[in-house]
Amino acid sequence: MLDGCLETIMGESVSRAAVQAFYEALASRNPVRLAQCLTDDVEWHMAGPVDVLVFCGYRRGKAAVVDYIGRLVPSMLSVTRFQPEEIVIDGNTAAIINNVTAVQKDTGRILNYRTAVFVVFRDGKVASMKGVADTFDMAEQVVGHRIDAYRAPDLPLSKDVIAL
Amino acid sequence: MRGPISAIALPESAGRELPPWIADFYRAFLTRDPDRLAAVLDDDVEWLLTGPAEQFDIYGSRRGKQDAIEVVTRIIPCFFHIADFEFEHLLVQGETVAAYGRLRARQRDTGRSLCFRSAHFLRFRDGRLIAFRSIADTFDMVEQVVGHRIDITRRIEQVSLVPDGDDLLLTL
Repeated sequence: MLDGCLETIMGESVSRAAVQAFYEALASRNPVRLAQCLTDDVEWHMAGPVDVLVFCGYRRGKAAVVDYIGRLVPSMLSVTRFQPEEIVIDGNTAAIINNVTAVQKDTGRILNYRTAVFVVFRDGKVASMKGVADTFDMAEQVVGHRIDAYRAPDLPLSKDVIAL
Repeated sequence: MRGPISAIALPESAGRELPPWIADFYRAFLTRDPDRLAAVLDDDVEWLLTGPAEQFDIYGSRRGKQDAIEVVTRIIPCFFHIADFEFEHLLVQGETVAAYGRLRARQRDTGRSLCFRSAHFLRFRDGRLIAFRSIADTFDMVEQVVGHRIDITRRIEQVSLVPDGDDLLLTL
């Protein structure tokens, strides 16, 4: 296992080894290792309904992203599998399909989902991440039942309706 | 590479030429032209749009050129007409392509504008698409399509087609 993040070549193209090192730091949830891989002004955006899936949303800055990955996500999910299914690297950007299995700590439910993340490196560190996932499926797994998309809510939904 | 992309033309990428088959595919996809699609799809193409396939026919897995063409030209337009894919990232590694951006569309029945984030992973062989996988923010997309917020407490009700007490099942 590689420690820390490797330098990119000429500051332009990111190597597969650097991508792998970041991925392993991400999988470890270790704040120190994560911090080594992120720029100070890193931007992190996981698209999705933040009122249903609190791990979706936008974070900016190393401290916020480390807190999100190293504390917030593990407080809700115990990740048992975090594997890259496909990696595409072009220039300073890597696209990865992650295959994730996790146990929802509140309920013990097992969640399986894939995320697609696009990671931009700058001087060997992650400067931005944009991710997307089948969030409807994720929401169904989190609440533990199939959701009827066509039935409108009886009353305007309160922001207090939170699954996690 | 960043920047908007029109329905008929890919932008110039900075300092390099993109393989022509990428533009060929996206032109065919965005224009829903069956002849163009037939020209860029492999006969055995794997087509996967991840999402709630039980409630929306556009989602799910298809195999083969004809099924993929049917999704693009007939099934997706039943819900909306795709107008544009605004690329934020377009990565090319050999014959593998990864794209991230916003798909813009107009809903067929209501005329509403739709816009949701989507990632595409494509594999080509000899200039033809052999695998297409789309991963999108489906919760957002579904809310826009149905036109109201999703109530996550609403369960899909299982409806039996056989009335209670029907002896038909017992005789089969």
